[in-house]
Amino acid sequence: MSLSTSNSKTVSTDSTSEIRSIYRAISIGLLLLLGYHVLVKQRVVPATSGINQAQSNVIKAQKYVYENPSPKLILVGSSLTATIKPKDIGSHVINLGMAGGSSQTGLEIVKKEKLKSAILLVEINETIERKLDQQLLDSIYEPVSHFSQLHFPMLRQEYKPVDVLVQAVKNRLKSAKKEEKNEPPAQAENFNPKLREKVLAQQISAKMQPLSQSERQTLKSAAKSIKTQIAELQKQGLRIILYDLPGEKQVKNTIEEKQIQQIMREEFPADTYEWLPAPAFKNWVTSDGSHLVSSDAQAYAVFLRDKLLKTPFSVSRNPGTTQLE
Amino acid sequence: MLFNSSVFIIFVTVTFFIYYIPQFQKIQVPVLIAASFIFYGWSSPALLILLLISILINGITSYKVANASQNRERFFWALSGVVANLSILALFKYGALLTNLSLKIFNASTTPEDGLISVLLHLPLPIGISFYTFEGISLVVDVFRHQNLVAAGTSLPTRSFVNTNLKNHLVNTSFFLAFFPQILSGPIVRANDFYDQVKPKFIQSIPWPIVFRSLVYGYFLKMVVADNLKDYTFWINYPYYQGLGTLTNLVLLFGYSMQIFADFAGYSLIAIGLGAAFGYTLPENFNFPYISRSLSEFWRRWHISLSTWLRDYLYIPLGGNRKGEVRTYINLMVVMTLGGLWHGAAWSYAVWGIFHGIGLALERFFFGRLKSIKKSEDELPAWKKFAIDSLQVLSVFCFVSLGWLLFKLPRFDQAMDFLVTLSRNIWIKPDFNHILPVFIFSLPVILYHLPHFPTLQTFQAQSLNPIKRRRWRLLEDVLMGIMLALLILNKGSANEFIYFQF
Repeated sequence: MSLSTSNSKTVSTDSTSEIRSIYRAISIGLLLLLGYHVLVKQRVVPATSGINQAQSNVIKAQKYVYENPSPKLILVGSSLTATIKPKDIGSHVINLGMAGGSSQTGLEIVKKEKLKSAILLVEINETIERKLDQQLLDSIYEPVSHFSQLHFPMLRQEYKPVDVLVQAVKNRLKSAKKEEKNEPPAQAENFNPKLREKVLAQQISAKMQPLSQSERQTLKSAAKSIKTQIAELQKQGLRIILYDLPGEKQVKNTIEEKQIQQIMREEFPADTYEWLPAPAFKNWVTSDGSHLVSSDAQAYAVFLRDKLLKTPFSVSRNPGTTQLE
Repeated sequence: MLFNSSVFIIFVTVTFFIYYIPQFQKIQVPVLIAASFIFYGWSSPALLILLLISILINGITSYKVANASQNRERFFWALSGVVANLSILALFKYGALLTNLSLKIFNASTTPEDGLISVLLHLPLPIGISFYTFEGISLVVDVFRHQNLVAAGTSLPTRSFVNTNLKNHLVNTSFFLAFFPQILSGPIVRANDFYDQVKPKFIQSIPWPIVFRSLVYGYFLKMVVADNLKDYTFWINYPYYQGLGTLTNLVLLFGYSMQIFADFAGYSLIAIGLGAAFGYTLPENFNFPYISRSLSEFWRRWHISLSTWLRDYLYIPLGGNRKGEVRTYINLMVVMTLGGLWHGAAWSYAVWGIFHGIGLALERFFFGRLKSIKKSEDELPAWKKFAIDSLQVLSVFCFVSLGWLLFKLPRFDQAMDFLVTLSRNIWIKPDFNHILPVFIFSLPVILYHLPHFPTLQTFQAQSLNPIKRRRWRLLEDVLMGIMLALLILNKGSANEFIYFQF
């Protein structure tokens, strides 16, 4: 049995069986594609939420672009925003928080979709320095990709066969565990306590250094790009509200963090931009110095729901959500 | 222009149809040279200048070597060609490294950077330079060796492939060095093997089975295996691995082994398939390296075109294993260290080479002594033979995977920190969100190697009866069909080939 591909073997190019073999492989491939397309269309194949962060980002974007939702509230930002579950806020909420990315990518997607009315919550903090994810945008808006993914859902990230398989195995393992324990598991927190302390200490000591001139410049030029995006979206009729997520008190009080907040307030002044007020004071806990633990992400989602969807939200003149003490 | 980009597909299709137009048969080579220049200069046209300089140097020096009447003159031109090639490589690839080293030795200040120092520290690395420079050296040396045989009156193995007309020879040399399927990452082609193939090609002579199989396997390994694995092996980067458990980090490291194989073997297969589509045979570059039972076997199976190049143009000229045991070990170390540095201008690559050199030397030392006392393998029962084979294959794979860590973490301190983390994070639970996908995407590579596993090698398609062979062919067609479907359904996000950085 040989699976090697060697061009040193003598090949009779007129061999019909060899050529037939190629046709057979192509036919089998096409049949498999057709079968998978039918299974996806009939919803036999379940959609996944991605098995790594890059995939989750793509799936979020594709769902928003191809499923024509009519959102009342859209969140754009980084992985800090991505920790918030839209269903914890309410219905018609979309979270375009991109792990490893920034608000710029989400803003660009919303801009391209020409949404006319909604509240757009934009995360503004040091993550804005991250560049636009052009590869993600190309994978959706490149004409051939866009057309094929629009008409053949099987080509979307959420239906990738390996993702479906991994998701199925994980679900199986989860249900087996549940049966073993014979009880519903408690809300699992997304962090490891031992590791958390170590990472938190690292993060605090790293942020004790003041920003360099080039870091300041990077933040300012990123802010400039975001302001351009915001201006265009406001023209479309969207209500833009800026916000920063709460976090660990020790981290928020570091030199670097304070300087970043200062720059953000200068770049996005409260008399020009609408800022979300800070939630009531509480000791917010993160898994790594930045990302809220599950329970706190849920608490913050409830705060957003109360602030933005339950009651008419009046503009606050106190910018930011800092928790300085 | 990436092999897995839509622009490239259009480029190849257009080139293919122009190439095979009957009226263009006389200018097939110029058509491919033009296409190769477009391909190479696509993202950075300035790089073409360096390629053209390399073509001129190698074309002229090899022509001079071929036409020199005296030994001394021949040697002078050959030496000039080799030195010029190595100088270009040293300047662009090692300029920054050597400048930094010199500044450290002479304790010179680097700030503010002077004009020349600044230029040397910031020289760009032209893509593919390591590959086409080695091909250039092979051209000059092969011509020199051939002419020496002629001068010595030895019966010739082949006729000289240098065209008597300088212009024609330069055209052939342009084609040899710039041929687009292999210019960026090999396989490193030998002049001896390539020049004789330059002749008119016909569409009816295309070996379609080779083209089809090479392209399907190549694209599958690259786009489905390597491009998906990269999303998980990303977590081996500093500092992310520090938060992962020992088992997870080990699985990710093995995943990187699979990724680097799938990435590079995938590239080589695509190159072979494309070469065959235009009527040219490129050498095999991989021969199931992860079933090797020894390091020396691994180097006969991994990046074959580089290891044979190093053997023929460096190891054997140094004396190989003909000058005693100690000298053999020294030669091994020198070749492997330089082979390591060929990959990049960083000390970690040299360390990687030394690591493999030490491995090869130790293996040679112990295996040489064990051979005399070892029981013949044929006398062992099958299960014992299988167990020994498995243990050897696993040992070599683990050794090689440990070496790849220096490719993934080129900073030596980070590589060491990764190893410390392995011993420190035993208490962290395995993360199946990483482990499971890595295993699934590694499976094709494992299955690809499995039929060639030493003990299973008897089960070969050639040794089957016609009925079983037909069944095997059908199974292979089904596998190809599945691969084609997965290429469309499950390709990862496009990513550059790992070996582009070398």
